[in-house]
Amino acid sequence: MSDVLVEVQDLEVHFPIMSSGAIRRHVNDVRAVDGVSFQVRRGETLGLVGESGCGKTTTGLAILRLIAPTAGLISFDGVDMAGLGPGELRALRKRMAMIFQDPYASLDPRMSIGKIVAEPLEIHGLVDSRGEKNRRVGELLEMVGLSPDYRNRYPHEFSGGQRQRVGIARALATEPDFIVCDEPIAALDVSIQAGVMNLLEDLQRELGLTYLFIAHDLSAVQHFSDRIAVMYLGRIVEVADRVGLYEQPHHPYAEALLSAVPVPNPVVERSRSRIVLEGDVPSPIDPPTGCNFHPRCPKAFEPCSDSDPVLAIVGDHEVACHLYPGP
Amino acid sequence: MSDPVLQVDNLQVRFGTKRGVAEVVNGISYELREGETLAIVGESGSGKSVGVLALMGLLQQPPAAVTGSVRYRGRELLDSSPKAWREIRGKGMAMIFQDPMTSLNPVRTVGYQLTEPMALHLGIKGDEAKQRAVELLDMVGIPSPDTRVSDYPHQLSGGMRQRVMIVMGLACDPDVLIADEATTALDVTTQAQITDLVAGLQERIGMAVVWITHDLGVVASIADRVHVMYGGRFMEQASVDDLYATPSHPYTEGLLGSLPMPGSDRPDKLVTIPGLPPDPVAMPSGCPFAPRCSYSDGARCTQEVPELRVAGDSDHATACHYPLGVAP
Repeated sequence: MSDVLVEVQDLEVHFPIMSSGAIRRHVNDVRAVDGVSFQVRRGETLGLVGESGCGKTTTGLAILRLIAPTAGLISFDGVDMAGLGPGELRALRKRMAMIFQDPYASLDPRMSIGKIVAEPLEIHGLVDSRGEKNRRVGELLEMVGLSPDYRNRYPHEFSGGQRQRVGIARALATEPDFIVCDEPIAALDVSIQAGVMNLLEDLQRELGLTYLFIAHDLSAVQHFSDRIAVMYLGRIVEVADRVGLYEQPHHPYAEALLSAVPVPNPVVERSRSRIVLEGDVPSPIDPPTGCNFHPRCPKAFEPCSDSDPVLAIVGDHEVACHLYPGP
Repeated sequence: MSDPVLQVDNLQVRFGTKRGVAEVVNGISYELREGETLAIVGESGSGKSVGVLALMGLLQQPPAAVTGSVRYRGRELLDSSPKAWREIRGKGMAMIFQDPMTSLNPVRTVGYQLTEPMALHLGIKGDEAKQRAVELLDMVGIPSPDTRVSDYPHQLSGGMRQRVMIVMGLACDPDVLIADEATTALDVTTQAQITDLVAGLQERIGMAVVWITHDLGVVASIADRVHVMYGGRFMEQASVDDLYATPSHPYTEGLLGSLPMPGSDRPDKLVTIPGLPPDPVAMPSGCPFAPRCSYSDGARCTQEVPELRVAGDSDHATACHYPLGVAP
C-alpha cells in the first residue's frame, strides 16, 4: 500500500466565458485552477491556503469530481478517477466526503437532522433495516458531540457550531478515508471554532482520516495541518511542512502572506515587520505572463515576466520561484 | 492630557420584540482621545455593533430604546435633532460598515457616493471633489482609480467595495472613525493594507478610532486599549499589552486560549468555551458569562452582576467576582 492517498497532477479547471447574443461563442476562460500538482499522504492533513479567488475551493471540488477538471490527473488510492464510469465513481465516492464552509446553506432546512445524516447511508446502501439506520445515525451524532435525541429536530433549531457538527456527522456516515474540509470554521465564532477544530482532530486520530484542509485563515491551517500548500491565482507556489513554512517561507508570496497575518500578541506584533503587497490579485481570465505573481512581487527580476517557474524541490520545501532554481 | 473627543456614559440599548424586551447593550462607558485606537472585542450577539450604531444615532426609536449619554467634544448627542446629527456624521464621526453589499447605494456611482459628503461638509464640489475621490481610491490601492470612480458598486469585487466603504468613511478626515468589522471580509494582505492606511491617517490628522472586531489578532496589531464585550457589558478593559499578558476575566482567558498561535508548537488541545452566548431576551441574572464559566461559584456569580473594578492603580478593570491572578 502506497503512502499516498490522493495524487493530483497538473490539474486544470477552466470555466468557459461565452459571448452574449444569439450565437454564443467561446471567447475566453476563467483559469480558476491552472496546473496544480500535489500529493496527500495517508493519515496526514494537508492545508491548502490562499486568498479568495485563488482556486483553492475549486481544487477541492475537482478532487471529489463535483466539478469536472479541464485537464490533469487525479488518482485516489492508485485509481485514476477520470477513467471511471458512473457506478464505479459512486463506489469510490463512498470513501471520500466533504465538509462545507457555510453550515447555514449546506443543510437542507426541510430535512430533520436524522434524515440529513442518514441520506448517505441510504444512497450507498450501507444499512439494511430501519433499526440499523437509527442506531447508526445515533452513533454518528454522538461521535460529533450531539445528543442522539436531536435526530428529529431541524437545522434552524441549532446554532452555527452545532450545525457544523451535523455536517461533520454527515461526512462521516460512509466511513470515508478522505475528507475535504472547505473552510469548516470560517463562519463560526471564535469560541466555537476551537471546539470544531478539536473535534476534527479527535476524529482524525480515532478513525485514521486523511484531510485536505482548505482555509484562508493561516493561523488555523498552521495549527491543524502537517504540511501546507500555498496557492496564488490558480497555482501552487510553495509546499512545506507546517513549521518549515512558518519559520522560513521561501516564496515571496508565502512570505508576504505570513507577514500579513496578525499574531494575537501585541509585543510580537510591534516587533515584526510586515510586507504589504501593492495592488490586487490579477484576474484569472487574463493572468500575467511568466510567473503570475511577478507584477506584485517585491523581489521580481529579469526572468520572472518571461518564463513560468515550476515547482522544484528546495531542501524540505517545494517552491515555484526563479529565486530558487532547484537542484 | 487632552480632553476626550468622545465620551460614552452608561449607554443602554433595548429592543421591544415579540418575545419580550431584548437587553442588547447593558450600560457601557468609555472615553476616546485624539489619535487613540480603542478596540471593542466580542463575539456575534455581544452587542458591540448595536452599541456603536446607537452612538452614531443610527438606531430607529422605537423599536430601539437608547438611554445614557454620548458626548462628542462635550456636546450631548443622544437628544440631538436630525439636522445636528447630519453635521456630525461624516465630518465629526464617520462609520465604516461591515457589509459593503448592503451599505453602498447600488444606483449611484462610486464617485457620487464619495463626493457627496465632501460637498456637504467641506464644500468641495465638481472636478475638485472628483479629483479627491480619485486620490482616495488610489490611496487604498484600487487599480485605475480614474475609471473606477465612474463605476457602480456591482462592477467592483467584494474587496474593492469594502475599500470604497473605507474611503467613504475617510473622505472628510473625521475626528472619530468607527470601524465595525471593517476588514473581516477581506483577505489578510488587503487587511494589512487597510490597517496601515488607517494608522497613517491617525498619525497625520490625529483621528481617533473605535475598532469593532472579533479578531484578536487584528486587535493586537492596531489597538492601544481593548474592551472585551459579552452579553452587552464590558467584561474587561485594559491596555492592549496588559490584556494579552495578564487577562483577568475568565472569558478573556478563554478567548485567548481558543486561538491557534501561528508558529507555536502545536498544543494538544485548544481551549474551548462550552455553551452558547446568552439570549438577550432572557439575560441570566448575575454575571452574563456565569453559565459558561468554569470558575463560577453557582451562588454569587449567578445572582449578583459584577461591576467593573479597577485592579490597583492601573487602568486594567475587570467585571468578575473572582478575577484571575488575584488572591480571593
